[in-house]
Amino acid sequence: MQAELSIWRPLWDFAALLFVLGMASALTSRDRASWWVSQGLLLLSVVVGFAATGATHPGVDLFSLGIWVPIAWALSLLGPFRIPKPSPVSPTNHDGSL
Amino acid sequence: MMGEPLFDGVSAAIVLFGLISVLALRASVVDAEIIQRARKFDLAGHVLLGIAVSLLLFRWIDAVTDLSLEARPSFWRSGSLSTTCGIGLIAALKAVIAGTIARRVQYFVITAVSAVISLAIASAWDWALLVLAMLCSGLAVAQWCTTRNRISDDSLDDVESPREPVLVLGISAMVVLLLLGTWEHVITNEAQRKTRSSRYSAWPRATALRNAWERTGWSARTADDNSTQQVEDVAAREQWIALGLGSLLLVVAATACFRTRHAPTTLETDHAG
Repeated sequence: MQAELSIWRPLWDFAALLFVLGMASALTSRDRASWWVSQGLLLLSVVVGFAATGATHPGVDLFSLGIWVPIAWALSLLGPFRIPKPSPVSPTNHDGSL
Repeated sequence: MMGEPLFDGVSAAIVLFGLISVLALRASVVDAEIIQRARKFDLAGHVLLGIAVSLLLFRWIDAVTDLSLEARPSFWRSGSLSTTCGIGLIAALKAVIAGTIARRVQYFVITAVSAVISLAIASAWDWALLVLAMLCSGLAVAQWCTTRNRISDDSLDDVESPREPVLVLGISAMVVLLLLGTWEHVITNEAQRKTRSSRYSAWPRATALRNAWERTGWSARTADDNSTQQVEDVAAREQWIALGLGSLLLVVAATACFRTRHAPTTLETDHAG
């Protein structure tokens, strides 16, 4: 297991930093495209983290890691509330009616 | 249980140096009108980024050289894995701090491809294929949405959109440190568990939060004969730290939300002169 942990250690750090950057990007995004990129980073961190865990700790179940996933995603949902909505070009319809 | 901890001071240093480099590189873009200052921030950011990646490589070398000769992994395999992860980390940083949306998406694709390659190097083919499938489907959906909105939406213009506040970055780092600390705590206490119930799963359920709270030892485990007073004290302290960090994160996020809604954007400021 020690050898397995040594092999997978870079992936552990990779997953951890992806999680940090995903959270930071989600909470500071100013547009929807960036917010979706942050969701991708979070998803990547989960997949890489679960893969590393399954290899280095096969006897430990992943629940305590998995519980943080919905919490992180719930926090990242704060991001879209900060994104300003695009202002309409005209308050009227194309035919000029309200 | 484990000879080598998953999370140690080097992990914290990697995360902190990465965060500071993000802030410095971000500041170099924001202060682009002052060339000298921007260059200094840019240089400092890249130096700190190099330190973070070097620490990552040191961490791997240190872990490998601690092993006996028989147990050491293949040099080329581990080296290529570390290099690919390093490229992915830099691309992920760029995906967050890049000035334009198009560049952020490009760097994210590089990050995802790096993840696929590193998982493939580690022989985790099923996970690599999963990432690849998600990447392809995500790109397809993004392409479809872009094509649909191309006429009426100019969201892919190369408009510089600064990111803030920086404090959220620090809070995010605290969240991941808490995550790793929790995980470490579970692994340390895994040997104390006498039974394994099938109701515990890696995937969240309706009672997920309560189960996790119990399993991580954050609640008072009076019924557990193996828990000592010291473990309970540590668990209680971790519980307070978790509550404090969670409250702080909510306050900062709410403050950021409030400030952003009431502050003029860069474009509005520019138009207003």
